[in-house]
Amino acid sequence: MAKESATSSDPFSAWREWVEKSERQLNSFFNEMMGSDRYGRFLRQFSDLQIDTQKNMNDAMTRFFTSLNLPTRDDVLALNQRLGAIEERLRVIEAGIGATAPADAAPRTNSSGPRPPRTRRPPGPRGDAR
Amino acid sequence: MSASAPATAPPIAEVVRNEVERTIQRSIKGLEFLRSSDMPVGLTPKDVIHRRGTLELHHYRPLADEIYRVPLVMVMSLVSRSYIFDLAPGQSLIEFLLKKGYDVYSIDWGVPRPEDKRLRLEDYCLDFIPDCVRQIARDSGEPDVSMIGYCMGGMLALIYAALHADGPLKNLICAATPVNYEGMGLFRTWSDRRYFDVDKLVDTLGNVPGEFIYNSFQMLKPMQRIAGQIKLWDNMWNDEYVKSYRLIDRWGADQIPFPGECFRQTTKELSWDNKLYKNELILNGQRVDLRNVRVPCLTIMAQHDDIAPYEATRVLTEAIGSTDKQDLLLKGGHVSLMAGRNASGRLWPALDRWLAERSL
Repeated sequence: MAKESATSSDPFSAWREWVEKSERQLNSFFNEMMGSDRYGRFLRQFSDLQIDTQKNMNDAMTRFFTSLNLPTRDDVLALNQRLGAIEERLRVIEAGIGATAPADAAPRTNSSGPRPPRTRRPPGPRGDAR
Repeated sequence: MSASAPATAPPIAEVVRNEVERTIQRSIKGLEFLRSSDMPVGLTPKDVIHRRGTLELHHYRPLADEIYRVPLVMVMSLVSRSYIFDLAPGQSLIEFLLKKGYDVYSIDWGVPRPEDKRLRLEDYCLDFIPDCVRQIARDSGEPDVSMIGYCMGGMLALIYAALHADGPLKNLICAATPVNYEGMGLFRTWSDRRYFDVDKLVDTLGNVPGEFIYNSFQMLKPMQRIAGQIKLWDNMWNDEYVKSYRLIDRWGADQIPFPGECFRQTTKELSWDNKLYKNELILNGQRVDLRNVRVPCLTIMAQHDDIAPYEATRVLTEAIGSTDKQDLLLKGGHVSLMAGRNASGRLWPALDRWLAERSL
């Protein structure tokens, strides 16, 4: 009851409630609309248009760079891919060397230095955490 | 009623005075807000212990004098940045876990390069995650590991768990993880095979652009952004609110491309054919049978999750074979489940309570 009185005396809280209510109502209205078959068909046409536009642009740019005798995006990507393959091969070699190196059974210590002991126990029933 | 009202309700004059003060604050802080640059994120000290392509495996420096035996690894979705786990000091799940005594690792997938369009679920669940788990075992000296997956990261962790039933996984925590794609609401409608030509999209673009993913998320609640801006203005006087808004808004808008082949596979096999839920998904000749997941499992869901709706996530617990399993349904939405004030008050302590006794 007290809350009702407090709310009713604050015109701004009524406005805030209206914003939240409107958001919910409009979201559910749009969701209902976007869940329909008609919207699905529209989405298909729209995404087809977007994809076709993108494809045509890509093709035009490729022709443009080729005419200028410059590497196209695909050429750069191909180089990137080859570099990636070299990186991957290096990783495998590195892993192989690591596997054949003298067994340093102790866990690695990185720049964080020595690790704390792994002896922690959960807090007791009274919440006395260690 | 008339007797109690004057004692509890602030007088109109006071309400108006407060609003005037706040309006002045809004104007001052609003200008500051417009001038300010992105807030730094992911500040908890860490080391990169493994790199592979765009993937980085992070180890966070312990913040407790004594840590639990079993290390913990966080697995993020492929389309979102992993700093949702480590937004800012005081708003970081990772910082919270470190202070509670966990040895935390995190798999950051990075931003896929164009050539990563060939990556599929097989690469993530049968190669990258197992590789990271091996690195963690090597780094920590412990044979087993607990795993927390969020959103699609939860799905990757779940598939990994199903395919490595005898493996080193000790505990599994899946947050906002869709399993039954029939419950995916509008996403399922929009990706319906009658309307959505996934082959054309992937064959033309390679990786699915981050803007495409971002716009899809925005369309789920079209008014959310406008209402969010209004609420931001209303709370502009409140520094904590603004800080939290900026961090979460930045993360929400920071979508990364979805590797093309993985998107095609997810659309066709999971969304169209619901193969994960039906235990019919085959990766590299191995069937992903969720009944093979037998490790202790905590399923975390949000009541008002519009991205991974309750209908899609609630079946996880009954689908797996674990005997030690628990559902945790919390108020809030997809993001507030994991980050922000609600998460730090609700999810994080519950997560700690569940995991602590299973991390020995």
